[in-house]
Amino acid sequence: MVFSVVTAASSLSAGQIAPQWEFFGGYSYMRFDSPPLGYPDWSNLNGFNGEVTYNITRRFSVTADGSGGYGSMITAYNYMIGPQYNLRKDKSKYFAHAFIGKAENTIGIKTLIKSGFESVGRAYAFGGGYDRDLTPRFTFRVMADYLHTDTFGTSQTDGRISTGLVFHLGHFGRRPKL
Amino acid sequence: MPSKRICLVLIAVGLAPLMGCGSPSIFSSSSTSHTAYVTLPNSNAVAAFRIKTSGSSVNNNAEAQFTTIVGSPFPAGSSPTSVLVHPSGKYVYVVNRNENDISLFTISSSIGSLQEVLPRTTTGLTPVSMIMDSGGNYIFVINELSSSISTYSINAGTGALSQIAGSPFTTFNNPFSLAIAPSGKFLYVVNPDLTSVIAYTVASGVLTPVAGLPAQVGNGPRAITVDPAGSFVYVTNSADNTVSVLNINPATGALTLLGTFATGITPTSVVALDPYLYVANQGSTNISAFTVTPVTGVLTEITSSPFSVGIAPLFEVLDPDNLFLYVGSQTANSVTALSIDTSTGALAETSQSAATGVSPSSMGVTK
Repeated sequence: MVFSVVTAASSLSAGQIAPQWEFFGGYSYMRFDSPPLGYPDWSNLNGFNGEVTYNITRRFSVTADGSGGYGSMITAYNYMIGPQYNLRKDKSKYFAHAFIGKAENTIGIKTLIKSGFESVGRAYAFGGGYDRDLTPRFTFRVMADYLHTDTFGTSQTDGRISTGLVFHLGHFGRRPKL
Repeated sequence: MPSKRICLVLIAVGLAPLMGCGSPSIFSSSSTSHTAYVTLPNSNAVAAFRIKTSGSSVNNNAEAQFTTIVGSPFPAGSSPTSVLVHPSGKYVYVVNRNENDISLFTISSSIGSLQEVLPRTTTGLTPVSMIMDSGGNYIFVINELSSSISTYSINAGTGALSQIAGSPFTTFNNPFSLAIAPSGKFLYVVNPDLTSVIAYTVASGVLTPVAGLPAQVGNGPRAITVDPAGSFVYVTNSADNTVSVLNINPATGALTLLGTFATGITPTSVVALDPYLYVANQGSTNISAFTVTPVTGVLTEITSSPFSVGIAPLFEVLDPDNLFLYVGSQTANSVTALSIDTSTGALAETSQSAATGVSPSSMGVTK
């Protein structure tokens, strides 16, 4: 969907630097759609987000995303992969991605015969973010995602914000001086 | 640049759920949330639902949304038949008919799930029904086969039950159901064999029979309730298809029959929402609704009554906010919400219900 609406127009100059690999790790906040599971209201989950991105070209890459969120008796893990479009200029990069993968949600309910109720289902996400170069190797990132999961026989519509550092490895082209 | 705008739009899409967009529950006005617990004797379990209610039938926008709580149904003992929710909202009590005991569950404050606390509390033989005083201090249990009433005090901090001295208290053979006055001073027990109601005074959980003969009602007395004002006792007579109205002597608790009024076929349940009375008729699959005249207790059926429910109702429970009447059916294996027009007492069918999978027998709702 993302790539069907993107135009070829660009004001970027040729030869702009781009890393071959990007490794992201940081904090993640998730607004979890818990009412379909029986909660009275949405839940706030705090956790982590990590990504590995392989840049096929300066603009197009493949990203593997993994995150975990922890809240009121809720543990939510998501493992996804998908394409990403990158728009780079000087020290900045804007990006948009679409992911699909798996969700593992666990509710920490205890009964006499069972401890913890887990459900595994499909997950998909749309979102994007902004990178700002700090050093030739490290970048600050902030991003947001709409996340949809299907677990416990219902659907959850979540929002996720992540921030942290990106480590670069390898590169395309010639890097302008920072 | 168009591509940069696309990226920013997608970031906004990701932020939208964080702002509550697409989540009507966040921006809905005047909605309340309760949890409901339904006993499933054939599954030896208790089903748990979250009920979100909003609107009113006066404005024709009443909604009651049922959501099954993860983990439901929660295992209980053998043949759980009756359930009570403590007024604190912390504990649920379930009487297990086939193993003669009571299960205590704590309610999760996060999600409303149940966790049983062992060991279970022993009752008399074949406990079939129980009631709690409005303060949540005592539980009274009818033991049908041992013809007795067990009384337990409730530990406010843990919910644990302790049988009080003198319990169980002997009553007439085959007691069936019971009700307690809002004051907690009087307890009333239905006895189908005697077609009567036996009255007791209650003092620190100790039961003392009220002087005089049991109050005679109709044939096949089954369900009983006391109105919120503590003025009247209502008893459904399933064999006569009537409901009896009895006056409570505020000093002694003694009952006086005021009148008997026609209902639908096989009335099985009765609830009072002053000034209205609702009787569920299992045989005619409808609910008879009455207004109650103060002092005289005369029942007048309201316009459009009886109200069809489309299922064979077994029990009724009032919504804590008096917006809905929840009706359970063993034939439909469900609990259905009827909206209440508090200005007229009229009931309206809604499309909202919860499937229980197997036959439900009773229901309790948190405040």
